[in-house]
Amino acid sequence: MLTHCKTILTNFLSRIPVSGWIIFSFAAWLVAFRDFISTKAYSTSDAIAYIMSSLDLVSNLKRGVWPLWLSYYGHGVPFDFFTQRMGAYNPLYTFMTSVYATKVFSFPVAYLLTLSLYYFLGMIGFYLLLKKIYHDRRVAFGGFILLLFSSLGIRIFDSFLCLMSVPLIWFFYFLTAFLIAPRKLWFAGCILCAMILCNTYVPFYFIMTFMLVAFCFSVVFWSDILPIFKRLAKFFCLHPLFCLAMLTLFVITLVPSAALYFNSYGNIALPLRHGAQPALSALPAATDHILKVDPGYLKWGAFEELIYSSFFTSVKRFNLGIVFFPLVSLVLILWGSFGRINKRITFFLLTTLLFLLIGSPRTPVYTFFAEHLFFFKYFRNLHFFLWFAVFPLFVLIFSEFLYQLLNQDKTWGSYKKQTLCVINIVLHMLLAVFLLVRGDLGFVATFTIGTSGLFIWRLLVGSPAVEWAVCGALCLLVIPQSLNIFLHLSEKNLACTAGYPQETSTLGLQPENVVVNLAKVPKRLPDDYYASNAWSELANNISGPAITNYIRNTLVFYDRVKPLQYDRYGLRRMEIAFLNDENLAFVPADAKLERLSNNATPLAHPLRDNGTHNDRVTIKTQNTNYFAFATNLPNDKFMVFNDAYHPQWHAFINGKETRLIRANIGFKGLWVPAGKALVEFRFGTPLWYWFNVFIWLIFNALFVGILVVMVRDRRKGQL
Amino acid sequence: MNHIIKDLSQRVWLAYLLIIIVLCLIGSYKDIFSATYILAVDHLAPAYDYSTTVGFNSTPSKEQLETGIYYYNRCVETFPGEKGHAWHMLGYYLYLYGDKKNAIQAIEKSVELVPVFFWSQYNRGVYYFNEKDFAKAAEAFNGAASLDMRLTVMVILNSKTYLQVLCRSSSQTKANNPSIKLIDTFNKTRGYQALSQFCLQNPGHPACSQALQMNYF
Repeated sequence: MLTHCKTILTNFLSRIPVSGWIIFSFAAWLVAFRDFISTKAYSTSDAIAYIMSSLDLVSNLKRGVWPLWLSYYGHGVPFDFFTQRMGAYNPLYTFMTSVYATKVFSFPVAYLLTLSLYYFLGMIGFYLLLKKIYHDRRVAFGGFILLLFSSLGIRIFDSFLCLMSVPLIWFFYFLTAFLIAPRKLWFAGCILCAMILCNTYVPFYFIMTFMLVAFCFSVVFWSDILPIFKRLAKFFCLHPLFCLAMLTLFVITLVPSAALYFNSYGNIALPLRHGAQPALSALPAATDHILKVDPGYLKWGAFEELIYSSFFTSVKRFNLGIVFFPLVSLVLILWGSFGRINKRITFFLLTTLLFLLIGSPRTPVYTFFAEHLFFFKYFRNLHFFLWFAVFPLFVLIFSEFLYQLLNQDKTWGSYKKQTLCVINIVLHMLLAVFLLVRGDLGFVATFTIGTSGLFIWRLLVGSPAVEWAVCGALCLLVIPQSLNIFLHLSEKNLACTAGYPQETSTLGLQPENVVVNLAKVPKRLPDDYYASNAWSELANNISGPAITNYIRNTLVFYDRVKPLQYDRYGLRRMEIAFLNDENLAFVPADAKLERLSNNATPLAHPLRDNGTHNDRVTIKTQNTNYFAFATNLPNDKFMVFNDAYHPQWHAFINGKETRLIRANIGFKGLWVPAGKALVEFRFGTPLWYWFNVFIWLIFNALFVGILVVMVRDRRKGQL
Repeated sequence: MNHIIKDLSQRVWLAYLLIIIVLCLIGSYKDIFSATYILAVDHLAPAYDYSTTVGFNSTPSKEQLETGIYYYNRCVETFPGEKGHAWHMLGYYLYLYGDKKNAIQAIEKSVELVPVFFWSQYNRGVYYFNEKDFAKAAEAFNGAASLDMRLTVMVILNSKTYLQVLCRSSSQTKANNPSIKLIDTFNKTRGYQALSQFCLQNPGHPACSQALQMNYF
């Protein structure tokens, strides 16, 4: 009976292909995080900021608008900062928009579900990368399941690392494939991933990663460099037009990043990034702070992250953002120390070491780079190197040892096998004791250690390491322990029921939103993460109560304008005017305004409006980049639109472009004639708008093209 | 013998050893540990001046606070080994509840029982600062600033009472209150220290009353 059951089970399991094990693993991962994805458990920290930014993008894409400006964030900011930060051209967001447009899910669920699938896509890329390196599906599955159940996936719910790690994994997959056997598909894949990475967050993380990996590869595999160059040269000679076209696309897609860089000079403020430094650009992180001053959090790097995580490794203490790998990884890393060193392992270890060194601000290596490499000033989160570089490298080391274990020398004598079996027992016992001392040796940990010992012992005594058996054993080794921890984590976070952001029915002009935002006006600037420079100057120089009193309406119509030096006296004068609601707008002293008064008897107070329907002013059209008001004023008025000023805003009155003036330090002002008039505000030029749409189309078209070719090749068995 | 040495030199453990040596030689581990402990302290336990954000998603309701007070009162009675921590948590809840007199008594007991615990000292300072007793505030902040953060982390991680707080991730609060940062505690302590000493010498100075009104730190 038992033998019969065993035969049936064996037959069943042996029919499951590796793809089946992959889907099963991901299903288990989804079960582990179902509460997070369904938003029953609450995501935290940066994940919330990214959900909000994604909502802004997706809700605009759904309306058919590419956002360039965001009125309801920090009193108006250019959207290009968010575009770059979250990689808005990434086809991921097109897919997210489609998911959200089905109206089956609320936005946070659509976001988290899409990002989970994106993470899974990244893990598939990692599987393919390992398959390319080892030509062994068992090893590839081992690496896949280990990375899938590492805490890299957990960071979906408290960070945005997934947006960088997934394209990075695919980039190295395409690059490896391209270096082994150059093909158009691999080259296009490399270009697409590089495009995504250069347009996500700070592109220098990718550039640094690429440079470091290339350096280590050159050092370890120096004898292979020449043949690789020959292969590449041959490919470029065979397909010059294709290569040129791809490289041109790549360069074109760098334009928005470059534009953000140049626009950051004097137009935007990121106080938390560049601190109180009198830097011209807002983008560089305060490197001097990282190196010299002592605020502990600014000096956070890879080692700090590892040590911090060590406080939270037990099931009860485990939390989001804590470094975690299933226990089996530790077993194999220890086990692998008895193995012979080879070029691959040297390459992985050397690269890991260098990433740890540059990822920690308290090492001379970091200091050297910070002093000699210009882009180091853009790194604020050095521990990111740990997550998107050291994590995959760690799994590559694990995979190497798994490969050695699965493909061990079959000619070993019985003495050597017995010695290794004893080492295996001792190793697992030591691990058990270690967990016991830490108080982490529960049922699941005991089960995992037992299974691990049995698994390695079976391999050592020469049992056939067939594909289904290895995949099944790895599932047993990884999934129960990870589920135990992740489910406990979900349970802990279930207690938190705070709301997620929801899509607003209208964009931009929501006076109540403006007021709500203003209630949070910081008394000092450093609380603002991102703002226009105009708003920052206002918030820095005018007291909170004066601003709150002034900005309670979206539109303010004045009868008089006063040019003002923004010195100490001028600023106090403005503050008094704001507090007393004087009928007087202020413009810079050098504004050279044609007129300062409407020549009519001025009212005591300015007219205030929120643009809702009335006789005086009505909102005609609005989207995130464009506002149109129909006005009907009794006499000429100087209109101040309390949305931050930025030099890329253009104003039109009755279709004719009109000069837009920076009024009341932070906002947009212009003279509006008496009677009926159409006042329009447009951010950016039509050329820039359509250029952005064009880039978005390039990303999506290239992605679809690569996907189609990969599916076709897979069907032909060429992949 | 040569064969064995040659064989051992080709093993991975040697590479591990080399990596460990390199890391040990070129990392400033004292600073790394110090920074890590400070952040851990910041994330692990509550401070009075962030009172509405730590351990709660929003301002706690009266019922939540009463439950907390009941719970930690029971802790004080039931777990003798946990008394120092339980008193601290009780003081924290009483402070939020508005029962400042009993709150300070609880926090004083906590300081007495666990003098190495950073938060007891720090919260004691915040309490006295808000009560305009700058002499006691300065004393408490001086005490807090001179403590070894590692001990505080050890206290928290080995205490069943704090596990309750630990289980509610304090980082969640940042999402709900983006303008309030939980980091930078150490700098805050120094700021409080300086201001307390200044206010002690100049009690009528407008900066002191302004700081009190604005919750400047």
